[in-house]
Amino acid sequence: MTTAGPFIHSGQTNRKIMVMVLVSLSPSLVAALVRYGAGAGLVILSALAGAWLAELLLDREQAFDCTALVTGAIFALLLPPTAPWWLGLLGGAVAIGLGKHAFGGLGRNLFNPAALSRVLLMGVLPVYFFSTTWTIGGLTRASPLAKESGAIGPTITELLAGNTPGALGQAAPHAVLVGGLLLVLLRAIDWRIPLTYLAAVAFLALVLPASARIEGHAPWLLGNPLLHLVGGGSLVVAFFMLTDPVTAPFSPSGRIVFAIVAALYTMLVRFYTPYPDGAALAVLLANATVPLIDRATLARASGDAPLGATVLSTDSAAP
Amino acid sequence: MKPVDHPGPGGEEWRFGKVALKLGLVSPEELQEAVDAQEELRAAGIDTLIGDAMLDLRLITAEQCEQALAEQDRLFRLAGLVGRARGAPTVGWLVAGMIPALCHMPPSGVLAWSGAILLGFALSHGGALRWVGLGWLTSVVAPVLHPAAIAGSGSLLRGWRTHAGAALLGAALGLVPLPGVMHQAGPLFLLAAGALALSGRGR
Amino acid sequence: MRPFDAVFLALVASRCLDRPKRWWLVALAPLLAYGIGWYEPLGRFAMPLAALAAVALAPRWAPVGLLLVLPVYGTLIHSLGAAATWLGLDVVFDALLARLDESAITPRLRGWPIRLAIAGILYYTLLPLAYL
Repeated sequence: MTTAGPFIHSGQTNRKIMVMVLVSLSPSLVAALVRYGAGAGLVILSALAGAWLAELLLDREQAFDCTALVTGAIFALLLPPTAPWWLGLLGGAVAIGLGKHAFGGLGRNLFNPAALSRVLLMGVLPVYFFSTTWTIGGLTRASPLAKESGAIGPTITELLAGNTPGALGQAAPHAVLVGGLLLVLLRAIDWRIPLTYLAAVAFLALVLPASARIEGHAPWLLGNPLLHLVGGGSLVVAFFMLTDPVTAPFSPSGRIVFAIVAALYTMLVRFYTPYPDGAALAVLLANATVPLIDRATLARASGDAPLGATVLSTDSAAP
Repeated sequence: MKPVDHPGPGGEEWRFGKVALKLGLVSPEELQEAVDAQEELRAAGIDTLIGDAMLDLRLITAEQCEQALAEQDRLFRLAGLVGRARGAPTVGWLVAGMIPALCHMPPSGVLAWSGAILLGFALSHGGALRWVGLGWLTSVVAPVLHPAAIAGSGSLLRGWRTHAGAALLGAALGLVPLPGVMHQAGPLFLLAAGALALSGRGR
Repeated sequence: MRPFDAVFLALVASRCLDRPKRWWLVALAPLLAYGIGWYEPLGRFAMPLAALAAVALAPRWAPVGLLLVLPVYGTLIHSLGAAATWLGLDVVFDALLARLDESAITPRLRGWPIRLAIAGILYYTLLPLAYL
């Protein structure tokens, strides 16, 4: 029975892909450690432990194929460095328990588990995610995407150096970029998704009209593509979350539409709502539209890649 | 649309093999052949889908596979559209019971709402229009109430159990001080999902 | 109740009922509620009238229409937004349920628990729209 979506056999085993993703995530994790110190290390370790323990509890066989560690690592990159250790543990467990196994396990999840956990915890425990000012290393500053008082516009140097408050994944944009490009070069992810998403985010940053939430509060958000590419979760989302083959559309054209949907919602949230960032939310919304996108594009896609040549599942569920 | 003996979640008719059989893409013998091949592979530790097995055995073509998938998708969609799946009455009273909390009704309003829901059991068999009438009457007694709150929640209910369940849940959620976040539909849905899963009454 | 919450409540309520032929008419309920509420001479009769109109739109889906007239729509844009969100959600929710592999889901979560969980996830995903 094939309801979890058709799969092309890529010739790569699940474990091999997961190891590649973990390697590509490691520069970002190391950068977060260097930038934020032991506190970040505790958050990362707890997220990894939460995800792995949940996997061990729910599916002992899969606990050693690294998928849970990939989910835990991505979830850690979405957490603020000020997050308590138990939030990492809980989030990692929610990602695997609710995001993956509640939907039937590997390859059957409808939503990206890390994004799902981040968004649910942000809804239930907003106090840990909505602080507009962050005290790190004795310095108190506001997130560059914050639209409330206390926020100040970052400089380009600060943005590129990751020297602005934000999630662990924003500690070093170049490290995320290196990891992402590595995945593209290794053909572990489809380059169309990050390219389309980032291009659409940059384009929308240039053309979207201002809202009352920006004018007089955070005017630097307008006409500033670089800020929107590196000042929020855009890079992590583009390379490590939207590219999850299980929750992305099947056809190349569908993937482009999918990335545009994600970019639109990311920027809608950043420009017109009080939320500081919409990247993780956009992942879930784009995931939700995948069945519709597939329905519209799959017939065309099957011409590109006949189903007959397929359908042995690689069970690839990541990154 | 009438509730048909539809292939609802948990049924069998939507399974790929059954769909292929129904469409005449494979014979019962061929289906059995594919199932046997699938079992053999599973025994060898390879988790293969039945559609894959059929393709590998050349019992169906790629186009036929796609045809079966489309039909399967239609059946699933039908299951979603028909809606009145098992467990719907339970969910009906859960949804109805959330309304007082979501509407921030004052205690007098919650009590009036609960009373109307209980009274409605005797009056509601005429359907939604009677519920609108009941809502009007109750909102005269308790002007803070929106008639649609009674009519909307009440017309979801069938039988005394669902009325009693909604009245109790509505009173509990409406009268007990809840954290702010609990006065939203999202967390209530997640709680209800957890409660149904734990109780095993969700199907 | 915020229009956003009402839309989700109506979405789940609609899954408890048979779908009428012209189900999409229910999307007019927020617009009717706004229009009737806006017409001042109706006074205290506005709300009951809106409730009746909601039932008339699709009697079989009366609870859905009634839930959609429950919130106060401040502006026409808000009511249009609620109608569009409800229509979009209805389609997306169905498509997600169709993609769901129920046979692989643990028995206790099959059926309504997973449906409600998906509704909850969509709720938090779209929550920023409540602040537009």
